[in-house]
Amino acid sequence: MTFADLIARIKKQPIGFTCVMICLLSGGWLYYRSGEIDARQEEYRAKSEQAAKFISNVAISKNLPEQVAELQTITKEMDGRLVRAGQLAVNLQYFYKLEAENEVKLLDVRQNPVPKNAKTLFVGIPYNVNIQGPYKNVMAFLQRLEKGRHFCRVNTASFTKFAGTAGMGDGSSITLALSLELLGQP
Amino acid sequence: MLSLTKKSDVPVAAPLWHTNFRNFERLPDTKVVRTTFFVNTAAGAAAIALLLWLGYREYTIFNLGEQIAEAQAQIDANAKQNAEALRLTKIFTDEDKKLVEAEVFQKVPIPVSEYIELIGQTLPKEISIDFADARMPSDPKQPMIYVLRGLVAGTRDQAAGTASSYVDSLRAHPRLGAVLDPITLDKLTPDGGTGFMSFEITLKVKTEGKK
Repeated sequence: MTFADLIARIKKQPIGFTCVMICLLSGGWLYYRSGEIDARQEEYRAKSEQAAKFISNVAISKNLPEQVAELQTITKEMDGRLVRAGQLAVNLQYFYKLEAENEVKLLDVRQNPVPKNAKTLFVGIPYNVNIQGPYKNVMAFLQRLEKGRHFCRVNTASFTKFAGTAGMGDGSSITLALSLELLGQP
Repeated sequence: MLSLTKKSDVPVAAPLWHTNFRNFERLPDTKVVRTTFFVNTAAGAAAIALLLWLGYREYTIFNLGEQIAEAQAQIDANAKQNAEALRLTKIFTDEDKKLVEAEVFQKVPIPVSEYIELIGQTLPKEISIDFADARMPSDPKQPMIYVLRGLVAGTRDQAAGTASSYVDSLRAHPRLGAVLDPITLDKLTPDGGTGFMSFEITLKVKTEGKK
């Protein structure tokens, strides 16, 4: 079939030819844009998820500034209650102060080397403390230590009746050997 | 009825007895429904169907584009607040971590002072405590153990009964019994120096699974 024949045929069937041309062009366009809907749907899903997340974050964090400020105040106060391992004199002064306040005899107090710990923000600074005194005073010392200014964890505590006195009771004298940790920074 | 279709005019087998002067190309299509009509209808229907399909898809794409733009507008509108919220959340998490660490550091099933006070409150007059020991290792895998040593007054028979009752009372105590289990009398032997019975009671802190 020559070009002239083709032209003749087109002239003979102009409507049919136009329709075929429309079909071809439409098919081509459909093929060209075949992945567009999926891509847009995926894009829309991602964007709508992100938008929902943003809206949710904003809604949830409505009172966050106040809460953060409150928390920062608490942690700032907490920082003041931490022990600094390097400040040996200040740290020991804490025990001497407790000794004086509770009228017990501090037989021994030692700050031990700080164990290396990279996992936590703070470390427990170990101490060995030995005191002697009346039962009530020793108990008061221990309570002040446990609920005192610094965060304290008692690892071992040995109460022994002081020689020459009756058993542990209000009027008796006892010795207390403590192995404890104060929460602090190295 | 005579038919003037092109096919019927084509000589089939018999030789022509005279010259055929008809121009088949120029003869009109005399079918009831012309072939062109079918061709045009089929091509037109296909073109319309494809155009409708194309239009539907383009409309869908346009709609999705609108929705994407709307979602993007929401993202843009909240981006600044979201960034601030994330910044504050990070600060909150960091600060909270400090509090949690301090709380975990101090957490014990029963503080030593409370334990000793409760022992003092529950102590019968026949019993005297000479030594009390509390071991609370920071490693949660190691058991926490409290030990009491002392003397029980009375005859051996009475002392054994008193010591046994004391252990029972410790087990039945609402606070001590809830935290310490088992509570066992490990030793009850005559004390040469005093003539009383010396005893040793071990109190172990309940493990997490037991509670």
